Amino acid sequence: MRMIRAVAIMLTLTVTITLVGCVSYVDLSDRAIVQAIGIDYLPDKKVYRISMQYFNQSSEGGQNQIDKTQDNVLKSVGEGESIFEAAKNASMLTGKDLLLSENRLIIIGKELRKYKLGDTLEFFVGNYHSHPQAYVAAAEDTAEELLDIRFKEGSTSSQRLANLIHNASVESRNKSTYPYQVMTMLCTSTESAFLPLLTTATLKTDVTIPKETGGGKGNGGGEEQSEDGEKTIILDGGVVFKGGKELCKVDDDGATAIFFMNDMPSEYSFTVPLGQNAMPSVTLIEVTRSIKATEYNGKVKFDVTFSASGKIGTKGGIKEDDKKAAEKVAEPAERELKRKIENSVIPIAKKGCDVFGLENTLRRCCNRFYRENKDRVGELIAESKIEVNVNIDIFSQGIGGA
Amino acid sequence: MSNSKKLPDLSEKSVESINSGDRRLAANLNINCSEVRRLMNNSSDLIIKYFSSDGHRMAVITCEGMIGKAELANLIFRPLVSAPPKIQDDNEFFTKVCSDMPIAEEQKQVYDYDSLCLYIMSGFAVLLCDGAGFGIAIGIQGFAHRSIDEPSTHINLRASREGFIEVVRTNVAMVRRRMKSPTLKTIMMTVGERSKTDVSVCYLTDKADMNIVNAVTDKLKNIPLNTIAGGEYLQSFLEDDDSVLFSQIYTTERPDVFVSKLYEGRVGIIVDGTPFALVLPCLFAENFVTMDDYTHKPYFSAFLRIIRFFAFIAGAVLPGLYVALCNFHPEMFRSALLLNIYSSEQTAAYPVFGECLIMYILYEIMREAGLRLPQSIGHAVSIVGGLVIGEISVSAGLMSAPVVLIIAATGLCSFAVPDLYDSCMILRLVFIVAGGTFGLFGITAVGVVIFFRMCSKNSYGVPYTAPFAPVTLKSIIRDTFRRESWKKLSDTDMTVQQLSGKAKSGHGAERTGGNEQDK
Amino acid sequence: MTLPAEIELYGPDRFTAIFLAKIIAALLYIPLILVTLRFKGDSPITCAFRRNKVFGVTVGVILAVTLTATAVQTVISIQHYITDTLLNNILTISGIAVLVAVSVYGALKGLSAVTRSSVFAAAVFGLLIILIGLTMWNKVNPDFIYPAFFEDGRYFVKCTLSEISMNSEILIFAVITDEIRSKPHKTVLYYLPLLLVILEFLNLLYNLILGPYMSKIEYPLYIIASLSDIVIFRRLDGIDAIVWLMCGIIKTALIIYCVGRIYSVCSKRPDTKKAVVVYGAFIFMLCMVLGSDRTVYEHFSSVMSGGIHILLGGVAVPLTALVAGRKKQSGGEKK
Repeated sequence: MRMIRAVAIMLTLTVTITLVGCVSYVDLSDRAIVQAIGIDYLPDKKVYRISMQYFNQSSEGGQNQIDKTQDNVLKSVGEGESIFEAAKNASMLTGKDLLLSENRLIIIGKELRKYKLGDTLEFFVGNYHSHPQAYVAAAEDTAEELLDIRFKEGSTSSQRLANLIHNASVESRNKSTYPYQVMTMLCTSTESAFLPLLTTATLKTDVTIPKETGGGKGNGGGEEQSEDGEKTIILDGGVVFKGGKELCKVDDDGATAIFFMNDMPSEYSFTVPLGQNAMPSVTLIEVTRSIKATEYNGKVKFDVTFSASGKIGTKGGIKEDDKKAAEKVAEPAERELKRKIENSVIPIAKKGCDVFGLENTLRRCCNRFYRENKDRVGELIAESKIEVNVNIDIFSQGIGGA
Repeated sequence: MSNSKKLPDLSEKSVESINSGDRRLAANLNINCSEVRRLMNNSSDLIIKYFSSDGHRMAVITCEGMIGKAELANLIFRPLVSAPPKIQDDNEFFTKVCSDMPIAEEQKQVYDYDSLCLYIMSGFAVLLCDGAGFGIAIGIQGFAHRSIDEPSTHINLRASREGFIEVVRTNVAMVRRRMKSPTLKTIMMTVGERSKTDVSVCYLTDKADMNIVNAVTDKLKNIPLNTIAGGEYLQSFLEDDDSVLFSQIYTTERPDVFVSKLYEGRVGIIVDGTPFALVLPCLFAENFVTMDDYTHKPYFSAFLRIIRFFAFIAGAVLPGLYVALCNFHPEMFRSALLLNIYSSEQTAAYPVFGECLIMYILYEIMREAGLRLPQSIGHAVSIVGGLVIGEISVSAGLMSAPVVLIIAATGLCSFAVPDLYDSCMILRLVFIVAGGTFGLFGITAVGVVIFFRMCSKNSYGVPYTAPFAPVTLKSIIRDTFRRESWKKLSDTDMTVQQLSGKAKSGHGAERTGGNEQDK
Repeated sequence: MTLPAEIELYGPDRFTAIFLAKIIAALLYIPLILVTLRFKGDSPITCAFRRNKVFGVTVGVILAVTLTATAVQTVISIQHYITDTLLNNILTISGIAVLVAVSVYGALKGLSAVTRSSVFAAAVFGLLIILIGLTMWNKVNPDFIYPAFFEDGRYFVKCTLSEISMNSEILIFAVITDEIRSKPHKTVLYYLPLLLVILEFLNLLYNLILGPYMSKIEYPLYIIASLSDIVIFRRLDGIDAIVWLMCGIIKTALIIYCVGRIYSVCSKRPDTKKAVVVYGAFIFMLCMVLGSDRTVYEHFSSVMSGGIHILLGGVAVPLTALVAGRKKQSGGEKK
């Protein structure tokens, strides 16, 4: 027994020692921590171009403090006949192994959106180590152009861009899209999807940008004055896809409407034009959504109902002592919201694009009808009638109200 | 006479001749005393005092330093010299002394030389009389020993401050003082061919499983060691299998803990010469229980127990997990943490795996050095360890700060469960190697191996991982992660035999003649 | 518990498929339960061996073959899972060697060790589910649930068959029935409903969070765990991997132990350590042969998903033992 035990121990040690070299690991310092990736397609060269920002460890000064005088990300670019090859070439340029788990943002360029979005995202969803909650966005022109603009706030430059999308989602103005959410949307018959749109803009006003270390101009240490003409990035609506390819752009209202139709808005503020120079603002909370589908004469009617509680944020011209302010504002608010949503949803639906989850509703409500017509869901949605109803209960009139 | 020195015969044969047990005392005082001197190899600490009592020649044989001199004078010399029985015949006189003059509470008649020598070496004073073929062993032990003090291990805030000492009888008295029940039974045995160490087996007759008691006493009788210097010598023989990682025997320095465990149906063993008593069967979950848990409020006790469980797991797994995540699965770190670690690793001279191993070894060296050094120099260890190795190694770029922090934190975690410190130390090393080799896969594989090993152990028929596996819900709710209030605990008693998975066996019969030595 | 498998069917139809599969599985257990009731806790192989040595050995060989196929499928699935999720660069030999070695160790330690270890695996699984529930509750979308019996019936049948074929625990029950302390049929009656509840809950989780995308990914629970974010870790996919690893190792250890037990009954030798080690080496070689090429493994897997091993070892063998087995004689016949 002792001999068997001794042999077993020696065998285990031998095997362990020899197998140690059989799993090659990459030391953390030999990895490039990717923060943002932009993918473009160059039609003239017929290659994919990946540009990425990866963490610049030199920006971490002594005592692990972030040195804001340096760029916190470095850029690398790679081209290839496939996205995978382009990524590999970009990695070779860094001399390090790519670590996609910190990638906060995936930006799809304009040219690439003419091709199947699912094929593009396959690279990320197929890699189990990739960041599952990276935001996917579209670029107005090229993704590389966006990634050339650097921001010094936050730990890395991409944090600002990710925050743009995150904050818009929190305020119910734009839908945040993770890769798996986009893939889920693409699983519909119409292969529809939505991506927020990032575009460059030029700052024309004096804007004070907080800066964490010294070296800033303007108001003492800790702040920096922007320069007129300095480029920045803003969120400007979104891009709608059908058949996996870009269909059209939508503005901010359209993006809001898509958010309302897909997600649960937690809080949303908008201005209600009352006429006579009165422009109160209303903040909606506890928004619930109900979508029902009914079939009539081979066509479909969708009844979309939004119910919400609201409060008047700013009176905007209404007299402070007006006790009936809530009644005055509620109906126009309902009309305004209904208008915003209908003006965005109906034109998109008319194009046969189901970025609102209408197919799921049809499947749930008109099961048999859907089964009989599942090959022409796009046509059904294009020919459908969509009626939006909004019920707002104003419970607070703000300061000075009852 | 030969000029060559005769070397002492240390062979087993000479030992056997001493322990023969068949040589009875003679009726001649001179013969008895010279034989005793010969058997004791003319040892310098053997003292034979001759005196006369009413014309009868007597002698007292003692070991220097083992008896109380005042008791010797007051209890033996004075009564025998001042008021002896008026009997002519030596044998009758001595018999009268033995029966009608109780000298001490422990007083036995001795008929053979082996017993006589054993009593002398145990601190008894042996009284011999010329003409009587027996001796009287009188228990007037007065050897120096440590006083009852606070235990050095298992320190508690609100529980008793008494701890066991090195004298078995004093320890048994402490147990008896806490359990004034006739069901508390002690069996005194001697273990060790040469050292004849006194061992007391304690149990409650209405709680303990007699099969366990019998198994323990059998094992103690058959221990082949010649010398028993401490209770730990017995552990290997008492465990069912010689486990590398987890011991199946619980050691405690606290009589209150000892008594509590006896009440749960366990068997306790107190060994002379060591303040650590052994208790079996022992379960894994017991290592996380302290006496303070029963003095605090239940919710606080629950919190502390969960902290201890977490501390043990962290102490064993954290460095290995850190190495695994850094090398193979960095995506599991939070972003800010990863960027910090990444920046720290840029300046470190070694890979993470190497850093962890080096820091682990350095830490253990420091701990061991601090333990062995005298207190006056021990402070230097903390200065060297903290400042030099911790601070300077990070500043010099040899190590990264996160690794130093992890190793220090795990060191603290392992001290939260002192009973499992040695296991935690070994497991830490194993997990570091596993994590550095195969990442989370390696850690899981090693973890499963450890689970298999733990779960295969039975401590005298009771599953070692009870009440977790097999699950005994009642026990888990009652007194594992949380402790019920004393009102609920007092409703029902729970013994270790009631745990699921306990081998089905009869209660067992108590062996007759259980008192091995009637001292 | 079974390993994550390819899910082709999405939606409430899968709820029904799982439910139906468990009903059918319960029916498949009937011959085995009848054996234990008729032969007072004996396993089919024991009572077959009591009738006739050749009969017993035949039954043992059939059970051993079906168990071997299950073990090979389990080990290779786990190895693929590790390669896909945890360690992309690991060699096949390394992964299989470690898995088989740990499983053999568990089998050597005995049935108690393996079954008690499963309590810890269950505890980690419970922790994972609780953490996922706490972090993902706000990402569920009830719109993904719609009335059942919508999809093509062909996929429904395939899903049901696949679920039945995953019930390879029946083979383990067929061997170790006589080592279960409580009444064996009670064990089955507790086990199947619990399994049903767990599988339905997992399916609900996949549907609510992933929706139709669930049918396109290989490890849906891994994806959901990677989306979960707690304070300490940013993603919980590591814990998911740990759970499945533990489940796979414990299942393989059980199977190796069962084959050791079959050897013990057939050869009347109580010491099975050498047999277990040799069998472990055999499993390792088989896994190397089948696991090094994914195409070969996929063919093997498709054969297994038909449930032939369940029918042979879990139904045919107990039925045969029920008909032709012999009872234990009263008067201290040694087992």
